[in-house]
Amino acid sequence: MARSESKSSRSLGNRDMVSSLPDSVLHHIMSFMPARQAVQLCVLSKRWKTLWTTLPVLNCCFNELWINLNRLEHSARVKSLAEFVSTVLLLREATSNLHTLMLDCACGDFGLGDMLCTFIRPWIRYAIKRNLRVLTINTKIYEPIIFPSEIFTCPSLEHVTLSFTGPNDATGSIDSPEIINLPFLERLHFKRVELNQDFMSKLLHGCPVLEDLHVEDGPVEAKGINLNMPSLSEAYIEFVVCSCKKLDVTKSNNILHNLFNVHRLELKGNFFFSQDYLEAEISNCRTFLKLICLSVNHLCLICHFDLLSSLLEHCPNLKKLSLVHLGCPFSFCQEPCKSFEQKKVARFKCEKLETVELKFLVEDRTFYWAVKCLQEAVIGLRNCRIIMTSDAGSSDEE
Amino acid sequence: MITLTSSDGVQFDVREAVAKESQIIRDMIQDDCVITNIPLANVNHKILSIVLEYCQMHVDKTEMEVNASKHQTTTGEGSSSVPVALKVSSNKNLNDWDKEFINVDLDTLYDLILAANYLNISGLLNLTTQAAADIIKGKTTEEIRATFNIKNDFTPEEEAAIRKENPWAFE
Repeated sequence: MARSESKSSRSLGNRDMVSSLPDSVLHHIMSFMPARQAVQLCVLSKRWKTLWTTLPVLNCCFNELWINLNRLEHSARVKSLAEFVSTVLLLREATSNLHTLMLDCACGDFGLGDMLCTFIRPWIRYAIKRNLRVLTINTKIYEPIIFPSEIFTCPSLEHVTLSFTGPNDATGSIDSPEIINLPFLERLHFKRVELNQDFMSKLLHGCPVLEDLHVEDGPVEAKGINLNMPSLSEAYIEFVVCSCKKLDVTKSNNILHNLFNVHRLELKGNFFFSQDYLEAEISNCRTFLKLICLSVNHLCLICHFDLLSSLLEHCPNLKKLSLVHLGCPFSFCQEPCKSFEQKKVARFKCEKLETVELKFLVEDRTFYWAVKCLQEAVIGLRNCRIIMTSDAGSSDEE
Repeated sequence: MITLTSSDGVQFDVREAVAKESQIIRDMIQDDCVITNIPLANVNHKILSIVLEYCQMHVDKTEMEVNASKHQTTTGEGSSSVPVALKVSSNKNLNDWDKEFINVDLDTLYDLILAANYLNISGLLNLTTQAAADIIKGKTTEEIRATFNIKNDFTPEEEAAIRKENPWAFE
């Protein structure tokens, strides 16, 4: 491009610079918009008329649904939005690839879950033929949704996120597929989706290169999930209250046992309800030879310090430990001074530990005790330092 | 050090790490072309200096953390008091910095998009195209045309026909 030319015309201040950008860049801009607005750009000028037919990223928002509508109006609204997506797919350039499909559905009720599922199936089937690489489905609706099994037979997929965040206790689930065939899947994130043993074992066979698995806020079936995946290098497992109801506390589920190959592990959950469970898990876990980064949330650093030490005994190569200090909901931690002073803090034995990161919300008294505990625990580890990060305010990021 | 020369002949000396924020420069270096001076025919000095400011900031932020850890390591030897460093969440600062950085006029934004695309700096390309999308979002067709000087080359009949034929998109 002749820079001098664009310079001289810029002084005139009326050159249409955006339209002269290459298609790929315009697509990039359009990918940050909801699909409807991206399509509507077709009336701007002839340059823009057919751009949407090759747009590789479709960002479909069903968030336009209003709560104030009655049942009939509401379902008409959903239908028209679904028709929009179907038509876009139908009229797209037949040979162009669809790289990313994002479906964001919120605040609808009235049988929306079932209806959406009926619509989503053919979209996925379409996307499979267009080399879909990234699929994200976020649902925030009142009734449970069953994600269609087609998702798990789309071989081009690399990143999948299925999330369900209803206002009540309902959870999403998966229409368990006959087989799972995701040879390129690297990242799989579930949020509040029910997973069963059958599905997890199929996943184990169908995703040879899966590296990053997040299971957030998901009820785990009593038998436990088998995560014996050699390629898995990142894992994020969240234990929460609602899952603990279903967990058999007396018998270990061997979740940690099977995660022995991970490089990064993030454990999050309400351990106060499941201390026995966690103890059983830890006593039963194998050595995490490859684990470099461990992150533990929601652990009371004062009353569960021994638990943390015993977990670290299984991590000989750990370099970084991240902890979140939220205090303890039980009153006996509020006055830890006397009981603490007599208590002996078990020292960490991870020779390679370099960083202990402590995130905190408030600098209260228990926080200083937690720091003291940590300082004592890392004595003898020559290369170790403690970093404190204020988490206040940054939690609303992302 | 690597010298980058802009289209209008101005030379910028930058560290290799900063230049490597650009995928095309990274590829050149990795392919072992021994390069100390890279001419960039599509970027003028004004835009290149802004682009390099972005790269410099993003490299500095990453390096700062690594250095901080080294520093702490050397001072914290074996004594009973383990040094404690207080720091604020740096990612948040970088996001704020990005927001401030991208607050530029349309001409500059357009040039930055082209430069980010040409140099293949994915972070900067995302930042700039997102900014362009934000400008378009929520505007009517007329407002978008006015903002970007897009000349409407449809006849009124043609434009009406597009809307009429595609009611699903315009309802």
